[in-house]
Amino acid sequence: MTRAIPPLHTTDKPIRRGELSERALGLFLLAPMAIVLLLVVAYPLLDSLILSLYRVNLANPEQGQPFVGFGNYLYAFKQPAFWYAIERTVYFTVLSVMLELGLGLLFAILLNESFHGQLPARLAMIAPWALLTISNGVLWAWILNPTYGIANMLLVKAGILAAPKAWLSDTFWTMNVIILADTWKNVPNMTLLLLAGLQPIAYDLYEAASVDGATRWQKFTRITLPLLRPVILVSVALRTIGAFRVFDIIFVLTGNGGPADSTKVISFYVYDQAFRYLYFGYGSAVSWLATAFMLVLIVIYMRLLSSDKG
Amino acid sequence: MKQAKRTKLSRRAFLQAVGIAGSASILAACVPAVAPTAETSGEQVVNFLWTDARNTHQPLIKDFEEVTGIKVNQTQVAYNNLLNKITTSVQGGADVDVIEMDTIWTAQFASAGWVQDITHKITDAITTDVPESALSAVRFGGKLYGLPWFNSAKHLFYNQRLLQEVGFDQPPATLDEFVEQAKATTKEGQWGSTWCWKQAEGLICDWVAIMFANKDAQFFDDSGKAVFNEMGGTDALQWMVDMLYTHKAADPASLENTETEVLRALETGKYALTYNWEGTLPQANDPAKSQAAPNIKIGLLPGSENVKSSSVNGSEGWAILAGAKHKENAWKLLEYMVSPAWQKKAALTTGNYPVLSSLYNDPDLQKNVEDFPLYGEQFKYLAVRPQVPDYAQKSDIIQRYLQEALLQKMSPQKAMDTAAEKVNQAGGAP
Repeated sequence: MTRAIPPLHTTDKPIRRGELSERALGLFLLAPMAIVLLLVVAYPLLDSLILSLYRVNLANPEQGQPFVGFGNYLYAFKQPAFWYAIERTVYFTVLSVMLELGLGLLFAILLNESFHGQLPARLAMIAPWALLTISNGVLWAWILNPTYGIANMLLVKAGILAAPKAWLSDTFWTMNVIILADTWKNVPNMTLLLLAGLQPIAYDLYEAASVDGATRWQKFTRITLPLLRPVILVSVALRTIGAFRVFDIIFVLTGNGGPADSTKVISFYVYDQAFRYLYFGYGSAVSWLATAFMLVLIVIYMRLLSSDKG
Repeated sequence: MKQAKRTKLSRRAFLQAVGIAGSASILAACVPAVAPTAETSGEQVVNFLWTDARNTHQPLIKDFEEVTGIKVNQTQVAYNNLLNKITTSVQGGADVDVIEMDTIWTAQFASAGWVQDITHKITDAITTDVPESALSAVRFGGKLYGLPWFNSAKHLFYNQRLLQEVGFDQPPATLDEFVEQAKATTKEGQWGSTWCWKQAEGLICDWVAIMFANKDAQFFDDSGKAVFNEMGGTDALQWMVDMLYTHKAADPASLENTETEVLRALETGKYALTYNWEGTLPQANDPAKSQAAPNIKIGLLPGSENVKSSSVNGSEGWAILAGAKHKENAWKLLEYMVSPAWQKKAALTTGNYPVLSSLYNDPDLQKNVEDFPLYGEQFKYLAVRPQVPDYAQKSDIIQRYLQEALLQKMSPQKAMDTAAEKVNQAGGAP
């Protein structure tokens, strides 16, 4: 009989009896982490998928837990509150990611130039990112407070506002100031990723372009942007995932997705359904739908960013 | 290509290391981490799930243990995690006998069959001294599912100096007088009233207190259909909207205030009238913290021509789980908690307001708390928030539409009609 399968490792000497191959040792050492990941990531994911196909209402155990197939998903599609939460989430995500990308790109290009005090500037840039989201929320709650907040004081003194404004009780402004607070915290993240993408771009390219008479704008659009595209794609995708599941800053600033539900994003909707109303089946279904919407957004970004390659 | 290096670790050595680590952990697991359970040692126990955030009630628990010889095994969680913990304990069959039960959960727990009906155990001694308003926090469908633990209600707090400046010697007794006094005290840099009308539970509490100044107010009809839009809810909301926009006698910041911000506002000395929970007075009259000290006074919340006063019940109770393993001990704990021994000591040491009417005339307590009898008086005029199984969901709906009207996005009538319609449809999730 011929041996069709080649040995896994070509070693200079055959493995002696009583010795562990490198592959086996690798598997042994990886096993604990793999088991932990299976338990804390794979199992809950699978379990929530199964839960989403059942009616699980913990507050009314006498209903039992019958199989309802896609009933929970179909029910969600018929709920105006679900679509409103999706609309609010998409508004938050698109606006905050666009703002973060624009500002992040600007700061990354500035920090990529060599200037006096470049290192302190880079370090200062990280400060908001190092803040916990909860602390960031509390900080902005104080800034925006209608009675003693500094935002109102400055705006009234500058003559922009006639009287202090209750920002967090206005259905238009609440979402927008939350976007501002979130952007302030997350721009550094975007900046750092883009800065890392800018650094490997060879200076020769810009020199050659200068010799050919290219303007700064042409260098930016013809050299920087195309070479930065993969990094932009990754950072936008990462921030989209982060923004789409926004919860904590809204929780700190509004408590209940108010005023009049204007900040009730999809994570808040899931939280209410699953953990406050105890509809675990329906809550699981909605969280899977939210994931699907997030994937759709990311695919759109990928198409947009990779459509005109070369 | 670089050849992969063979490891020096022999299989035997590796397995030995794993074996030693494994045996050590098994041995560790065999050593008892806790003392033998009370059951096995023959000791009497009761397992209690509750919140005692600052451990102020621990001496009282100790008293109970000494008096009865029953050991209380406590599981304490933060209030915000309590509902989840109760839910998982019941579903998972955990060994819990007594739970802390907020008034807004009574209907849910009772209708799900999680808590024991204890109506037959209530003695005359309890019913004569615990007012019906306090028992209503733990009543559902005419049956009692627990005993109230402390009394809590919204009260009227007013800045006496600001009212006297414009000629009012007494706080408002009716909602009409409230409007009159709030308007009179509103001027540049000063507001006649401040409220907690952020989209939160506090908004519902204020709305309920205002609504039940109408003696015919009602949330649901006998068939369980929401009728608050026709039975006082719309009038209450109209009154709230008018305070903001017609009379301009409520600070617009009320729309993003919770009770905490209302207290802070009162402490600035620039607000004349507000509704808030007990506990406001010591803080608002503390000269170290409050610019309004010592001018803040407490009064009965306003009523109307037919209703002396109208407030909202914020009490909590203790209930025995239907699946409790130590039911007799659990009942003894509840009975002790509602006795004067616990209630008086709790009032003196923790600041809780007692559920026993007689204690409001107690000289020791009167010495301890400013205007103490007034709290007892207010506890007689309490409305209970809707006792429905899906309260959290229905409260969210009502909060949202109250805000739609308060933000002038909808008329009060349309907001209440929509809220009633949505409340009637709620609870249908698969």
